[in-house]
Order: sequence, then C-alpha cells, then structure tokens
Amino acid sequence: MGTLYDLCKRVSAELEAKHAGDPIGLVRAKGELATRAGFLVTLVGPNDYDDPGKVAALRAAASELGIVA
Amino acid sequence: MNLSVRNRIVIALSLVLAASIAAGIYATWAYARAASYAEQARTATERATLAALAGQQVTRFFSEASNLALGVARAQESAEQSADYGGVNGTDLAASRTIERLADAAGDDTLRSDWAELRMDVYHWINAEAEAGGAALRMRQREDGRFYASTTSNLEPSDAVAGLQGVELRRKVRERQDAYLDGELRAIARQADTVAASAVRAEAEAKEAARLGTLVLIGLSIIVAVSASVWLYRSIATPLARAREFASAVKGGDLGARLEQHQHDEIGELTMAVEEMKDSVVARIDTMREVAGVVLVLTEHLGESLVHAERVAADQAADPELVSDLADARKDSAALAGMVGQLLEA
Repeated sequence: MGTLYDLCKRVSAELEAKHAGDPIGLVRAKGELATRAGFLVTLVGPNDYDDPGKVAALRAAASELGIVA
Repeated sequence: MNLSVRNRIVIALSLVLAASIAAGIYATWAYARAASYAEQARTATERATLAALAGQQVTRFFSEASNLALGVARAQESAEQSADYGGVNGTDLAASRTIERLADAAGDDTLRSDWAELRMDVYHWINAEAEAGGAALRMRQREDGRFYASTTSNLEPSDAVAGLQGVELRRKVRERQDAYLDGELRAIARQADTVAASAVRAEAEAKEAARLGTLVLIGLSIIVAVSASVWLYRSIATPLARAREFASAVKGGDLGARLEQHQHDEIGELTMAVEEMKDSVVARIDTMREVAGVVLVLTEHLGESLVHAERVAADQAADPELVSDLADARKDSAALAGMVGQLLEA
C-alpha cells in the first residue's frame, strides 16, 4: 500500500509546479488528468489498495500530459 | 513541561496558597517572638521595681532598727519606745513581704534565707543594746517567724555575729546590712534593669524584623502570584492567539497556513483538532476543484464534439431540427464551461 498514493502525490506536485501562478490552468490540468486516468486523484488515500490498473492508467495519463512520474 | 491546563491551575493556586501560608506562619512566629521579648521586659521591669521597693523598705527597717537600738541602749524605755518596737515590726513585715515576692520573682531562695538571718542578727543587736542599757523589753520570735517585744528572748543569731558585743556587734550588723542592700538587692535591681533594657531592645528589633520579614514575604507572595498568573495566562493565551491568527489566515484564503503546536494539553488538543479540521476542509476543496476541472474538461470536449457534429450535420443537409438541437447543445455546453470557469475564478 502507498504506491498509488505516492504516485498521485508526485503527479499532483508536478502539475502544481508546471502550472504555478495559473490556478485555472492547474484545475483544468487536474481535470484532464482525472478524465484520462479514470479516477479522482485527490480521493486516493495512503491506505488505499494499489490497484495496478489505476497505477498504469495514472502513469499513462501523466505521460500524455507531459509529466514523467 | 507537559502539564494539563487543570494541573497548571492547581499548581499556580498551590504556589500562591503556599506563599500566603508561609507569610502568615512567619508573621505569627515573628510577632510571637516579639511578644515573648515584651513579656521578658515586663517581668524584668517588675523585678527591678520590686527590688527597688525592697531596698527602700529594708533601708527604712535598718534605720528604724538602729534608732530603736540606740534608744534602748540609753535605757529610754517608755511608751514612745514601745511604739518604736511596733514601728520596726511593721516595717519588718512590709519589707519581708516584698522580699518574699522578690525572691519568688527572681527564683532566689538565698535572698529569702539571708533576709531571715539578717533580721535575726538585727533583733539580736537590739536585744544586746537593751541588755547593755538595762531595758526590760527584748525581741522574741514567734513560731510563724515574726518578731515581737517581750520580756524574754529566744533569738539565735548567726555565726557571723554570735559572741560579738557593743561596737563590734553594731559594726558587724551594719556591714551585713550594707552587704545585703548592695550585694543582693541592688545587684538584683541592676541585673533586672539590664535584662529589661536588653529585652526592650530585643523586642524592638524583633518587631522590626517581623515587620520587614512580613513585608518581604508579602512581596514574595505577590511576585509568586503574578508569576503564576502570567505563566498560566501565557500557557493558555499564547496558543489561543496563534490559533486565532491561523483561523484568520485560513479565512483570508491561505489554505497552506500551518498551526505550530508544541503543547501536549487541552489547548494543544484543541489546536490540533482545528488544524485537522482545516486539512479535511482543504482536502475536500481540492477534490471539488478536481471535480470542477473534470467538468470543465468534459464540457470543453463536449463543446468541441458538438461543434464538429453541427458542422457534419450541416454538410450532409441533415434534418434542420437536428442541426438546431446541436447548436443549442453547443451553446449550453459553452455556457456550462463558462460557469465552471467563473466558479473557479471566484
């Protein structure tokens, strides 16, 4: 446990760094990430099950948004 | 120091109470000490007064006894001389009572026994003078120790004067009188005066020390009370002030504000709960923003799809009603995207 959560945190941090000073752009990017991953990143908790499908989907979505996670 | 607020209050009150009790105990002890010196001074003054009175009475007794001795030596036995016997007796009685009180007050039995011996010698001298002068009356001692005039005598003089007669007897008796007055009564008076003066000084010093000590302890009690109050106030007010600043920062939109908390007490638990509440609210806001982002993205995608569908329908001369519906849907989608944007900017 914790892999999916850590990945969510890293991707979110990357997005925030990428859209620093552009709050609307950040929201849009997070919406885009969630749409592509298929789940809400902010609802993932540290004790949640590390679903391999979700991990792969999140990695793919992040990659599509230009984020290396 | 990890103390609960309740324990802090208990400690603060205990400190104040302890300081107050200490001040009270000290004041009671110090003033009792001063009162003890005052009692010593009073007793010593009383003893000195008694010694002075005894000195006067003994002097008078010796004087009257000398007059009587001189009178009987000249065989002037008369009604007047009988009165002299009575006068000496009365003075003797008064002096004896005073010496009894003085001996009790001074705890000096020698004073009492010396006085009894001296009186015996004085009366023995009077008897000797009466015998020499041919007078008929003699001093005699009753069983209760008092003397009276009689025709016979039963006196037993001390070894100091036994066997002496005439001038030698008179001189010896007078020496013993002077020794008793100067060596005993006046010594007691001088000692009592010294003790009284010393006790008066000690009383004054004790009162001053008690006053200063009490003031110092009251001052210390006030310092303890103020320190305890400040300590108590700071341990409660300071974290509450930090919590108020934190709440103000969050209210102003600073969702990243943190509340530094180092206390492990009720106040610490309260501020920790406030921060956890803030974190929970921030997490929900983040989720809402993410959902809003999803809605925004989907709405924009939908809008793009509708634009494309509208164009395709128009190119293929589709049903005008379908084309109109697609146009309306595109406008609705654009309106929804605009509202989401407005919500995010708010």
